[in-house]
Formats: sequence, structure tokens, C-alpha cells
Amino acid sequence: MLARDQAKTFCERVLSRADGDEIEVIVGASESNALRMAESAPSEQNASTRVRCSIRVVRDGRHGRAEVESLGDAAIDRTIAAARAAAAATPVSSLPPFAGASTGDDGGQPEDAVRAVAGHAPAAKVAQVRGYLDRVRASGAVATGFYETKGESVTYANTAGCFRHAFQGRSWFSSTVLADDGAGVAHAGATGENLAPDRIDAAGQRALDKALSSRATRNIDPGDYRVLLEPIAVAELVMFVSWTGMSGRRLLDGASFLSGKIGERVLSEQLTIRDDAGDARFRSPRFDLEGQDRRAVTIVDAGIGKGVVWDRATALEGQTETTGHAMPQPCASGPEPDNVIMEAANGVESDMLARLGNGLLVTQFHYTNVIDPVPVTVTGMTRNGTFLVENGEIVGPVKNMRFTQSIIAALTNVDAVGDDSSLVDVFFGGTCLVPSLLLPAFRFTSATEF
Amino acid sequence: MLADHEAMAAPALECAENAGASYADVRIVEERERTIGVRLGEVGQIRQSESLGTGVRVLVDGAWGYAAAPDPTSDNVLALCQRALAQARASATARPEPVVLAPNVAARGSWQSPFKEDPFEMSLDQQFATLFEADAVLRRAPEIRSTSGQMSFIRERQCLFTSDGTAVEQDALRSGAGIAATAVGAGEVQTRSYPAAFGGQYLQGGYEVVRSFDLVGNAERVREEAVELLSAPQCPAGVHDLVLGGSQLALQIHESVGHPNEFDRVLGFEADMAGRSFVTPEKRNTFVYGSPIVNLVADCTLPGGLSTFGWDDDGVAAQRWHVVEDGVHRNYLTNREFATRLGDAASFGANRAQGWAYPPQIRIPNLSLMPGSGAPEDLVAGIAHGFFLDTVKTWSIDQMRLNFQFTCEIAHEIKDGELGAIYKNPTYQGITPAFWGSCDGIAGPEHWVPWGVPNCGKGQPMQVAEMSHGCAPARFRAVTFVA
Repeated sequence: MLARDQAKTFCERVLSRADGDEIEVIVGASESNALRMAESAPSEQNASTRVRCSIRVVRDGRHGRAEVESLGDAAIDRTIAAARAAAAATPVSSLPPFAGASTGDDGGQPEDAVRAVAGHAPAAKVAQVRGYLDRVRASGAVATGFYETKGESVTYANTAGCFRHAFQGRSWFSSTVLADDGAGVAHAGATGENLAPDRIDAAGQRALDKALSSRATRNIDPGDYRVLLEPIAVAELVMFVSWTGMSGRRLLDGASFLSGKIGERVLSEQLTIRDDAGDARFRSPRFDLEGQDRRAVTIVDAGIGKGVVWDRATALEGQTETTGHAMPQPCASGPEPDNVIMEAANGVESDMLARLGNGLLVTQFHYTNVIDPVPVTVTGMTRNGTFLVENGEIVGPVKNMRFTQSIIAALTNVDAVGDDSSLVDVFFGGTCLVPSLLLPAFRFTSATEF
Repeated sequence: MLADHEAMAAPALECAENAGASYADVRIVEERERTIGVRLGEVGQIRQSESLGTGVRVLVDGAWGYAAAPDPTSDNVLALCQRALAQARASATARPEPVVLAPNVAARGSWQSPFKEDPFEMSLDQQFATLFEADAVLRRAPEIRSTSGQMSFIRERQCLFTSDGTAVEQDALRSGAGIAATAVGAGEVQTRSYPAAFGGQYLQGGYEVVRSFDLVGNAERVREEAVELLSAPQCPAGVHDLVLGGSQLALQIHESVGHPNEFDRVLGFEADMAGRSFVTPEKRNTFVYGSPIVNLVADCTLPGGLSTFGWDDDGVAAQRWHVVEDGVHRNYLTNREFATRLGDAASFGANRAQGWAYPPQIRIPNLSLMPGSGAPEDLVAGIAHGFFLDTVKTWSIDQMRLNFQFTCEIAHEIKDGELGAIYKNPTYQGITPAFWGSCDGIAGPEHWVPWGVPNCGKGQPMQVAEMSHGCAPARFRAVTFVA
């Protein structure tokens, strides 16, 4: 990781090579350590140091980019030369010129805290999970999982005078427990800046308890069911809505659920979705990869479509302002929401199982994918604990089923929103903050054998 | 390069041995990538990157440790070794059983993938010009709201040095390209791609690979089919006979045969993220995976394959083996660690890492459905009513790799043995062994193509690997379609 002063000195060194061109430099530097677990024991540890320097050169309105995994002078010279050559090879672009200095807060987390997360020792990691692994082994079940700690610095600078720098640290514990040779399976996880041992232990215990209670699954027929989705299942759905519909690029292409529907009711009035890097539960860098302030954006407010995230290129096309959600330019896929929050209920929906009454409790979805992007029709499987609920009580686990469902349609009719916001890492990448949801109808289309 | 890097690796291997490691290896990897893209007449992507780094892996007291960093020097390779040793020792305190590796014959040598035209020696202008030309054709309809043209080239040079005597150098170049057009109208969004979806088709080789696709020559058809799909009827639900085109069948092989036969996955090592497998160990040599015409062969010597190499990241020489033979399950995909768990004397050599930053793990190698005979038209001729589906649109499969559901970009109706009207969003589903059991026709070798998969994710943290799945179009009977 680069301290702010180190990063500034490095960027100045790069920008001093501009030689009349405009130059932009983005540097990401990280330290991580990951412990994998299988058969209720550590199966692998992996520590890595990464540094990526990406340089954009603009000459006469032509943009070229190149990157290198080094901060050495020779490597930087080669990379600038490659970016210059690329600029010379491309036509004049409609991308806007670089923006100058910002007075906004760079956000992120304190350097000391992030360095502590990044330096988490391998032995400490093993010590934190050992009690949990021993307990699972003693129960006759088997634990698998993953525990990663990672710290990184992100820096943006350009020849127009912009310099941004922030730190971000994250710990991620995830475990799946198999009971009776996989007859019962359950998953639990915990994500945060720094995980205390009791959080890891509690998450592991949840997985163990649920695995032991999810054996002896029964068959039920596919069809429409009333469902209570735990946050990890909700996260999977929300992220697909995010990827397919919450960006300026998708809106302009007419491919978003919000295309032509800003100001109209698009989801249940119980739902509010926003993107906010500054939320205390994310504490992400508050600038994007054009150096712009990453603003809080309300996507859906009490069911009404409000807006999407923009970078400077799509904002120009859409005749609006950037919200600070740019990826490195040029970027055909456009801006991306990165800190998505579905607002939880305000402490009034604590007994969601009782509210469910009769239906299914779904822990997690697996391998979800998009069939139709505008209604966000997706298909996927249930996974790691699906339970039949009668009269507000769990009566037993059921075999997994495939669902095929428009997420927009499902979220248009919501019976209750939980008060249990959780930060969730999603199967295909990304993290979001979501509550559990009670939906009156969810369409399961086929069964499987376990 | 081999001798210089061997000198750099030697102190680390010696350090590991002195620390009591039963095995250690050093991989020094240099990677160069160029990916360029065009969208609606503008540059959509320029990614030119270079990376040089080292990963050191040690097995101490029966536990693994791995550490990696860029900019290798003798000093920092040695520091990585010490970091990896600390990890392994920490893990060993909580391991009841040690990791045991299958033996391997030490190798020395070098291997290079063949190519004719080095894409990195070509000017960007020339490559962009082809994409802009294709893009201009794609845009010639008002319904086309988005276009995509992409070329991608990766060259990876790797040296591997192991404590049991292997010192090998490999140099692989792969190239890929593709185009796509997205039409939008009345709330409908439809995309057509060529030669395959998600960036196109990829093969080991140089720019000659891209030339062979004729992107410009295919752009008009792609555009017209995207527009036609906007008003095409929904492919109907029901039970239909089905012919799968090559790029879709490649995905079917990948998801329903490749992943479930990774032996680490079979033993539950991937249960927390990717999932487990229905192909449990007792099924070997007895389980009927498909019909008798189904032969699925793993082959790390396949010309043009994305997982073609001299040695894997355990130093095991490239091999060819049956996973399914005449419909019966025969073998798994293994590395040196999991070969011993299977009771095999040696690894099949499927251990690969993404670059230098990650430890190797069992990855799907080139895995192909062996060809039958005849033309795709012969398969179609044998269907009274059904559909010909092609090009991946979306995919999903359960964590045991049994229940799958795939949607393709386009379907052609088959009536009385002939192709007819097109349908949108064709979606079929099934259970893996029953589906392969319904295969009753495979087109011949002249229609067999090694389709590249450039984006296979596995592991925690997730690594991306590349592999190819050779196949010719094949016919499946009485498949369930959903709408």
C-alpha cells in the first residue's frame, strides 16, 4: 500500500513525464492474506502483494491507456510510451477533458486501521477459526470456508491538478458446513473492516446449527411460493438489478428497468435503494476513477424510480452531471454502482418468520444469471438451507429448487422488509447492504435431486 | 530466461528445504495483455498491460503456504519463501492429516505454443481498423442501440522450479476476437454475437486466429439477426428434440462435465463457493454419464487449446485421458495432491494458477466431446419437430452440477427435418446424466471446433482460467424447454 505522501510523490513523477500531453494515473496497491478451509482444517494460505499503475495519455483529443504491475521508472516509461502509441492509433474521442482539483473528502478508512487489517498474521487467522473448526469436527459435520483480510490504497491524479487518495480495508469470513455427508448443508458469513473473533465464531456456529437442522430434506413441487428471503439471498437479486439497470449507460441504451420510467412507480413503495460510498457501513473511497466526487445517489425512493449513476462520458450524452461512478476511461460498459444499499425497515419487522406464516425460508441463491435484462428475469438455484414454514414455524428442510423470476416483478409486491441489514458479498462479485424480504409470490420452476 | 530465473529461485528452494519443506516450488510469470474494443464508432476499451511476478509455494508439516509479489529479485523471492513458510507452519497446527503429493518425474526443458503473426508486433491502428469497419456495418439499423467489437491477446511466459528437480520454461500466446450487436425496441432487448458470445472465440495462436473469423464479413448477418429477434416469437415451452450448436455445446460440456469432475470439488474443497459434485468417487468406471456415443476427453496437448501446455503448475507433463468413455465415467481431473486422495499413482496434470499471484488448483483442462459423423444438416433431418439452438445467452447450474438451465441467443425451428423460423430466448433445462443420456447424434470431425472459454472462475479468492471445449453440433431427444 502507498501512504498519501508516497502516492503523491509517485504520481508527480509520472505526471512530470507528460511532455505536453495530458496524463492521468491510477494506482492500486494491496496486501492480502487468505486462509482457505476444507475438511474442517486449513487447506491453503495465500498472501499476495499487488500494485497496479494505469496511465492514460491524451493528445489532440485521442486517448490511449496502458498499465503495469510495477512502480519502477523503466516500467513507467514503457507504460507511458505504450499509452502514447495507443493514443496515436485511435480516432479523436468524444470523452471530456480531464477535470481539475476537487475539494471533496477523499473518504475511505484510517491508514492505521487498514494497515492492521492488511498485516493480519497467518497464525492469528488460524487461531481465530480453530475453535470453530474443532467444534464442527466434534459434531461429526465438516466445515469448509474462507477467511481473507485485505488492505489497499487507491490513488488518482492527473495533469489538470486533481489528486485523490484513500485507504480501504476489509475482512471476509465465509463458511459452509456439511452434515451427514452433505445431507444437511448451510452457509454463514461475516464481512466488515475488521472481524472480531466472536463475530467469526458466531457466524460459524450459525452455519453449523443450520446444517444440522437441514438434514432429511423433503421433496416439494415447484410452483409459486410465499418466501422469506434472508439477506444473502436478497443481495443476489439486488446486485442483478444493479448490474442490469442502475447505470447511465443502460438507461441511455433503453436496456434498464428504469428506461423511460424515472418518476414512475417501479417497485413496491416499501423499497428504497441507493448507492452511497460514504455510508458508515461501507466507508469506501469517495472518488471515482476520473477523480470525481462519488455522490450518494437514490435509485428508487419508496418505490419511485429516481435516477441512476453516471460517469462524465454518459452524463454528457444524457445531458446531466456525473455522480462519480466512473471506471477507467474509455469504458464501453459505462459507470457502475459500487455501494448499493436497500434500506431496512425501521425496527418494526423483527419477527419475519411469523409474518411469513406459510411458505419457504430461503438462505441463499446459487449461480443466478440474467435471461431478460429489462424485467431483470433471472434464473438460479436455492442453496445451503431452504426450509418449509407452516404457521410461522420451520417444519423442516426441503430439497433445492430452481427459480425463474422477474426480479422487478417480485420486488413490485413486497409484504415486509426486515430490520436486519447485512453486508453481503455476492457470488459473481460485489458487496451490498440489504435486509431480508418477505415476498408473497416467487416462482420456482424445477427441482433437483438434493 | 530459464537460467537467470533458476538462479533467482535457487535460494528460496534451498531455504524451504532447510526449513523442512517436503516440497516447494517457485513460479516466475511474465504476462502481457492487449485488449481493445469498439462501441458505436468510438474506442470502448484499451487495455495494454504487463506484469512480472513470483509465487512461492511450500509444503511444510503437511500444510500449504503461498506468497506472491511483483518485481522478482533473489532477495524478494527469498522473502516470499519465508512468508509462505510462516503460513504453512500456522496452518499445520490445525491440520489432523498431512497433504501428501503423488510422485512426479522431474522435467527440464521448454515449450512454446505455435503462432504465425505476433499481435503485439502489429500496430494498434491495423487492429482497430478491423473493429471500426465491422462496427460500421453493425450500426446500419436504427434498432441497434449498442455494438461491441473486441480483440484480446495474452502472452504468458512462465518458469517453474520445484524442489524435486523440475526446471521448465513455457511461452503461450492466445488470441481472440468477436463482435456483437444489441437491438432495442418496445421494452425488448436482443443481442446477437459472432463467433461466440462474451467477447468471441479464443484459441492459442497469433493474429491469424483473428483473421480466420472474418468479423467484417459476418457483421451484416449479426445485425440483421439482432433486429429480427426483436419481433421473433418466444421459443415455446414443452418437450422438444434439440440440436445444439458448437459454442453452446461447449458451455454444456464445461458446466456439466468439466466442473463436476474436478476432484477437489468432488471431495468438498470448493463447497463454500463454487459448490460440490454429483460425481462421487464410487461412480468411477461404473456410472453411466451419457449415451454410448458420448466420449469426453481431457487433452492438454490439443493444438490451439487454451489449456494446452508442456507441463502443469505441479510440473506434471501434459496428458490426454478419457473422463467419459462410451458413455461411462472413467476418470477425474487431478493434481498431485488430489491424485493421492483418489488412490491414483500419478496426477493427470490439471493443476494451474492464474498468473503469479495465486496458488495453483485443479482446473478444467481442454475437455472435448469426440466427434461422430455426418453434417449438422443430417442431425436436423432426423427431427420431425424441434429446435436448433446456438450461442450462449445465459447459464445457471446447481452446486452439485445436476439441474441446469441455459438460454441461447437464437433458436431456429426444425420442421420435418428442415430449419425454419427464428425464435427468441430459447431456454432448455435438464438433469446432467439424463441430458447426456439423450444424445443420439454428433456431427463429424469436419464440424468439430475447439471453443475457447476465457473466463472460468474458481476458488477463494476467485481465479480465472482459460480452457477449450472441442465439439461438433449434437442432437438431444425430448429435452424440456421453458418459457
